[in-house]
Amino acid sequence: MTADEDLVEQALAGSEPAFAALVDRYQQRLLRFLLVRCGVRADAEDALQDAFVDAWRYLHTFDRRWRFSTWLYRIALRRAARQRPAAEPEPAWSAAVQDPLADCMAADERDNLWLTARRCLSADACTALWLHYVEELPQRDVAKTMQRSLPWTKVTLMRARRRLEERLAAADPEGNEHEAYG
Amino acid sequence: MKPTDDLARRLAEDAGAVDAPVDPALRRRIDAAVAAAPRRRARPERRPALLGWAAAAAGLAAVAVAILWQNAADDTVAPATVAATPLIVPRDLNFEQVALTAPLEQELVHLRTDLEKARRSIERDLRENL
Repeated sequence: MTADEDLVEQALAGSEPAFAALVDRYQQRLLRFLLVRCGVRADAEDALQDAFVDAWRYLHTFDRRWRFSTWLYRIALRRAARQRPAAEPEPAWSAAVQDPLADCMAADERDNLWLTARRCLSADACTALWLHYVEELPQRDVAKTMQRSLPWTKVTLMRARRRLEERLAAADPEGNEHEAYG
Repeated sequence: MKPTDDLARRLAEDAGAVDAPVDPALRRRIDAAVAAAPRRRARPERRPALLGWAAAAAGLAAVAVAILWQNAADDTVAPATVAATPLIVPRDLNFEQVALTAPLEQELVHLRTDLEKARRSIERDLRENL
């Protein structure tokens, strides 16, 4: 498989198929990420489209010291932030039926941990968790992507983990799985 | 980085359970939008040099005005109450070039949204750190 960097070089030279290959590679991962980040599926899809358009337009500004995925996720985050009107408060995921993420999961599955995370963590904490544990970005890259400091990222990840563990322990008072997360 | 514990492993696994295939219509939308988007090219940075000359010229003019003002004040008879002459100190202005590329109204909406996001981010940081 061609490396991201090679495809970026070809796209910079004007190759649209090379950029289309990058879109192929990242579209689903990015849509999952945006579904967790955005409140509405339509917003996630709009943000996905805008993120790829921005990536294409500003590819010449891509710093090769970064990973392409880090740069792309940063663009997607900015686009996701623009989807919600400024005056609208953060969405409150008080019930699973309100969460568009719930539509993407099979009904017979156990509770998806990301639904729990969405209910008990801030959007930024969820984003940091996703980038670190799903996209496997190092903490430094998470900080870069979210335009936060490294200490903020470390503290946020630690608090998010602790909160999630507490929530899981509360949901399972007999401690069947609690020891596994301790 | 590999997941090192059960919580990390479960986070990664459950992310994979988010079944979010990209609809072919959405993909066509993306391709069409990308094809329609003009590619930006890096431009040579001429503006800073011009601005530097302009700032230097403005600074020299300000110094000349200050000297003339001072000389004029020395030539006149001092009144009973002498008003302090303001000393004009030329300073380099620190500003950035802003390229307006979209329709102005759209740029304004984007700028307002960015501003609001920054405000919320600062408030959130303050709440979390205090």
